[in-house]
Amino acid sequence: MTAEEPLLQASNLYTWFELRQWGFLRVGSVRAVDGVDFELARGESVAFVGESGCGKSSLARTLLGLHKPSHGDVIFEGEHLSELKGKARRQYLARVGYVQQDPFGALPPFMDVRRLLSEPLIIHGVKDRDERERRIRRALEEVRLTQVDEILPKFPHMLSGGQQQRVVIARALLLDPAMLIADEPVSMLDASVRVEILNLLRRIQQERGLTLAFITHDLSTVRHYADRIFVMYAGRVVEQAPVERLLDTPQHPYTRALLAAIADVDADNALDERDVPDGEPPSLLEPPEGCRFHPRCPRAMAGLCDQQDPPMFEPDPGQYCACWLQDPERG
Amino acid sequence: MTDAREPLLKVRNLQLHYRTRRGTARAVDCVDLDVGRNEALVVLGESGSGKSSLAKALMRLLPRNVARYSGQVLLGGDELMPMGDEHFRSSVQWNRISMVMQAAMNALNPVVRVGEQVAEPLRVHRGWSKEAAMERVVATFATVGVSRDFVSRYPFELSGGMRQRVVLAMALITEPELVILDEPTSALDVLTQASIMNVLKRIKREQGTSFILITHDVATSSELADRVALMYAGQVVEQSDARDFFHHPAHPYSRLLMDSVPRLHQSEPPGYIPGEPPDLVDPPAGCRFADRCPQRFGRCSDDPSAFELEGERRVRCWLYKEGTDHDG
Repeated sequence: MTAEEPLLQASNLYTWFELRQWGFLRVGSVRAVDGVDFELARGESVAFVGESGCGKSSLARTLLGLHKPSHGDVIFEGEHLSELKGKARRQYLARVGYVQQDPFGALPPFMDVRRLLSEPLIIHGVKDRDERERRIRRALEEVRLTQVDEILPKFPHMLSGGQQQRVVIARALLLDPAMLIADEPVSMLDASVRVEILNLLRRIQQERGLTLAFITHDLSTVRHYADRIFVMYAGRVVEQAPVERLLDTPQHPYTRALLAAIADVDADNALDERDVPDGEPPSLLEPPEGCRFHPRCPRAMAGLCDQQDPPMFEPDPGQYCACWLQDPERG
Repeated sequence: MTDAREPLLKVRNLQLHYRTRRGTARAVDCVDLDVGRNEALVVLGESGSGKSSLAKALMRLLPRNVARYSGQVLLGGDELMPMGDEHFRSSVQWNRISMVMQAAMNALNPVVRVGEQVAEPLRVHRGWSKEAAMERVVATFATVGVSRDFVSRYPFELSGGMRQRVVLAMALITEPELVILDEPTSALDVLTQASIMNVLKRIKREQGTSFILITHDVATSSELADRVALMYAGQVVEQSDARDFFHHPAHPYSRLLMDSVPRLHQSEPPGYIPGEPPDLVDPPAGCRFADRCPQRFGRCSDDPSAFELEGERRVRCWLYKEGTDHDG
């Protein structure tokens, strides 16, 4: 394997959920992930940003192998996820850790921390009790739950939200993954704890050289925790760029609208109304023809944006944007 | 009519304690607040700081395990606390003070058309005819940006943003003097959130309504705030003008909190506050923030009272007692 080979590759990925009436009549599909392509390098941190219903969580779950893609495939370390069966598949799940959104929901309430951290090790064949204990302690220390002896016998409800999320992260790290997928890891936590958890994830990612993909709706925190950002809208990636570039010179009208809607704390905010595009994201059952953002886009061009799907243009090296405004042939 | 400079709502020494299995939880503990006419007061706080309990105490929507409910609440000069429950319910609750509860948009009755639900306060509290009430509903929908054809729709036919507007219309329909909003946008997407904040700004400007906005989201709160009250462990630790609070926070907790707010165009990463808030059942005897405070000193083992600073600013911290040396 060469160093340049991406760790994970999503090629032409579609995840559609069929809707059925009376259990058998197909009435349509929810196109949650609708043609997504990207490559993630080893050791990089990327953020998928979008509003609820844009398909970002479905994408995460597809990458984890929890949803089967309707088309396309996930290629991890050169292997096609759809072809992995049995033991190989279990090994894949050990290589990709998952940090859920709701830490309390993610931890089984009837297991103490020692038990719930032992579980993945037992499943993956670590039979020696002392070895398990050693790895659990190391993982807890890595997530800065340093009073290990106090934490181990506790049940999830006895921990604070921040501690619960640390246990979830420790669990994701136990099997030495090459990649972590974190789905809104801090949205259920208090503002003062969020930064602490994000710093922790970033530090672990850098120390271990992990690939970290995190899913978020909050553009204001991504600058310090991601190298690259993917902006998703209605099942597709509409813009992709290194983080500074995306925040400082956004190209897609949707990215611009998102950034314009975010308030940096300032007492003057109360004086003016903000520019917000009308309408709401489209239904994923019947997305609009052409560019999916065109019904809300202030710069939509009739006859083009409402008819033809824009391909990915590269307005600047490394910055990709699916918008007809970036078409070099348009002049 | 009372003096125009007199605040619309004046709260002094408000306490709301709950009985729990482990003892008495002091959710709201000696809170003083002022809300002026046509003013928006933001009550900021982390979860468990007592901000939602404060709203419930003002609306007198109390659970059964109340151990203590006392203090003074003046609305436009009228004493609310001595009022009997029946009198309070018929003349104040939903009439002069209304509230948008947390996640209220998910609590709409799924089998009643939204127009009828919004009309309910008028029909029940004021005995209006159906026609008159519906006319007012259409007018209120226009204010919050809901088209009139939505009157006869059911909640499931509306998106999250639209349902939140409907819930807002329900709180505004009786033209209350004060509207309490408990986390009105925290479940919504960025763009929807921004458009709801636009609606609130417009209502404040055009109708002169006063607001108490309860939230944990500092950035969004700055969209509406005239004044800010920051709560910590059941107490208001700082109350000041929004400009002072956002740009020069005084209380050590306020400063750390403002440092932890992520900013889009800032190169250094945000900070965080180590440690956890104290237990409300048995809070520490002195300053409740002392354990996490980088500036604590000897006095902090005594409970500080709220010291007045210039610019109608009140800070509950020994650093601001006159004669105590401190650096800004």
